[in-house]
Amino acid sequence: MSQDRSQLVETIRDVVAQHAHLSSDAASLSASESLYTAGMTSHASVNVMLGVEDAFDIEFPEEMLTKETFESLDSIAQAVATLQDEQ
Amino acid sequence: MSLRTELGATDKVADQHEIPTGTTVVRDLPPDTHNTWEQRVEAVVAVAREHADDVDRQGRFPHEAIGECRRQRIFGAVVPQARGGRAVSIVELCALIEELGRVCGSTAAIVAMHFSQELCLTRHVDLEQESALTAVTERVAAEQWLLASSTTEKNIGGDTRTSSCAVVENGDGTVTVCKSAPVISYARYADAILVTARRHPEAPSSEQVLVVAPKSALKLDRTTPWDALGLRGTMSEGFELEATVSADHVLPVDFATISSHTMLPASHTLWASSWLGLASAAGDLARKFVQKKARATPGELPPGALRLAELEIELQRMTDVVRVNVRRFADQADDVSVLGSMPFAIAMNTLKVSTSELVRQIVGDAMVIVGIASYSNTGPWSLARPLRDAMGPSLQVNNDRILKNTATLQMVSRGRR
Amino acid sequence: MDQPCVVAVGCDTQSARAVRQAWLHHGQRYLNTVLATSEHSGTSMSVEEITQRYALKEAVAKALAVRSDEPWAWRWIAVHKSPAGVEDHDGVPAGAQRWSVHVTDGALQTAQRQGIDQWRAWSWFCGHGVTASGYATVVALTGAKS
Repeated sequence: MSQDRSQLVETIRDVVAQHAHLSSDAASLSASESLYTAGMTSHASVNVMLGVEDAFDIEFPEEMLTKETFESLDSIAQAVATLQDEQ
Repeated sequence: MSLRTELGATDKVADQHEIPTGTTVVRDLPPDTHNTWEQRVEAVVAVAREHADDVDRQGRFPHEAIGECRRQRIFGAVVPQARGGRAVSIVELCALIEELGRVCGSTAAIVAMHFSQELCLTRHVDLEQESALTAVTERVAAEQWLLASSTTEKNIGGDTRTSSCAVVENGDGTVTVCKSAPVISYARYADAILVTARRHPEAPSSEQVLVVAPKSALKLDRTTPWDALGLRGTMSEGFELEATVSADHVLPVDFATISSHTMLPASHTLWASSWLGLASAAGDLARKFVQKKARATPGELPPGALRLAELEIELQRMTDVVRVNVRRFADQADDVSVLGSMPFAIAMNTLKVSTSELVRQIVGDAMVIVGIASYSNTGPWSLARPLRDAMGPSLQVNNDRILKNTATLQMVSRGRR
Repeated sequence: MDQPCVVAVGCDTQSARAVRQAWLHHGQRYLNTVLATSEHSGTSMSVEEITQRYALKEAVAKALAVRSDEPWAWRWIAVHKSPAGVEDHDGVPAGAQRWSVHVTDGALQTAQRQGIDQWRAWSWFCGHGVTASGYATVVALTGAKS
C-alpha cells in the first residue's frame, strides 16, 4: 500500500473509532475486515459517512452510498481516493 | 433401499446419493410400516442424531436421515390421503422439524425446506383434478420425492419477488427456464426443484410463476461449492439451472399469492421450529450441567445457576413465540383473508426476526454456562456444532440480500441491516 | 375482488440516544442525510420523532431487500404522519403512530421492480434514558393483481 493510501486508511480508522461504536477496538481491525461484522450498525454508518466527509472535506454522491462502500476501511479508502482524484 | 435409474445417467454423479440430472429415477422403497406418526418421527430423529457429527465434520448430505425419512414415508405427509399422503397438520409438521432441530440442524433445515415446497403443491394445485401437477404431488408421496427450491437469482440479491429469468415457450407444448442460481440447497440430492421465474419474457420482473422441474427435466451445472461454518449438511451450492418441462408444470396460481399465502408463512414457521429445537437442546445441556454441579455442592447455588435462570426465561420466550405463531398459521391456513392480511404478515416477520436472534443468544448463553467443556468439538458437553449452526439464522435474516458467494442459505425472507 | 397483496414486512429498532448523539455532533448535516426535503419542517423536531422516522426508513429498506451494492439514501424515503384511528392495529401496539410512506429515486426503482406500490407503516416509542428507543413496522404491498 502506498504511503498516501495507508495514511488514508489510518485517518478513516480514527473516524471509525470515534463514530462506528464497534464491539471491538478499531485499532485492531484489519483494513479489509467487515465493519458490519465488527458491530457497525446502519445508523452508525451514517455517522461514519459524515465523519469521513468532514475529515477529507468531500461529499459522497448518492450513487456511492451503498452498503459495500462502507464495508471496510479499505473500501471507504477506495471511495475517498476516487473522490479525491475527481476533484 | 436401492435406486434404479431408467434411461441412463447423462451426468457423472459425484456421490452415490445424488439424484442424477436428466434421468428418470425409480426408487425401490421397502414396504411401509404401520407406525404412528410419532413412531416415524422418533425413527428419523434417531438416525439423524447418530450421523449428525459426521455430516457436520465432512460437510456432507445427511443421506442416512433423509433415507430414513423415505423409509418412514415422511415426504408427502401433508398430501391429502386421497392422493397417497397422510394429511399431517402444520402443527405436527413443525413438531417434527423441532425434534430434528434438537439433534441435527442440517437435517432439520433440509426437511423444513422440503415441506415449504410440498405445501406449495398441496395448497395451490387443485388435487381434485387429474393433471401433471397432481401427478407430481402423488409422486412426492408415493416415491418419497425430496423437493428443493430455487427462488433467488444472481444479481437480484436476496429479493425473491423479482426475477430476471423468464419462462420461455418452445412452441411444442414445453417451456424452458434458465436461471443463474446463487444457492439451491441440496439440489444435487433432490428429486425435483421448484423454480421461480417471470411468467414470460415480456412480463415485468415482479410478475412471477412457480415451475415444477423434476430431475429428469433438469440440467444443473454447479458453480459454487458449500463449505460453511454451520448447517454444513445443507449443501447450499450454486448452479446454472436449465429446466425444460411441459407447460402444465407451471403452477396456475401467481407466485405473489403462493409466496404470501404459503411459502413465507411455511418457511418462517418451519425454520423457527428447527431453531427452537436447536435452542432447546442447548438449554437442556446447560440445565443438566448446572444440576450436576448442584449435586456436587448441596446447599450451595452452583455457578451458572443465575445464568441458567436467565436462559430459561429466554427459552420460554422463544417457545411461546414459536408455538403461538405455528398455531396462528395452522388455524388460519385456509383463511385467505387472514393469510394475506397485514397482522399475519407482521406476525410472521416478527417470528423470523426474533427467533433468529434468540437461537444465537440462547446457544451462546448455554456455552457460557457449561464453560470450557462445551468449547470442545467432542465429548458429552460439546456445544460446538450447535453454536455454529445457531449462527446461521441471524446471518440468513441479516444478509440474504448480500449474496457475496453462497454463504447464505436460500430462505424466503427479508430482515435486518 | 382484488385486494392489495403483502409483499414484505420490515421492522426496526433505533436507539434514541444514538440519534441524539448524531444530531448533537453533526447537526444539520445529519438531518439532511436522514430526512427528505419534504420532511424538513420550519419548527425543530424532537429526538423521539427523528428516532421513529429513522426506524421507519430502515424498516422500509428491509422490506425492499435493498442489495449491498445498491445505493441507498434515507432521504429517498419521506414519511408523514397520518391521522390516527385507521384499520389494522393488530401486530402493532395500540396507540402506535400511523404514517404514510413516499419513496423516490433509487428507492422508488427498487420498489417498482418488485411491484411494490403501497405501504402501511407504524411507529412507537418506548423506554427512558439509555434504553429509550423508536420502533417501526412497515408493510410493503402490491396493488390490485392483474
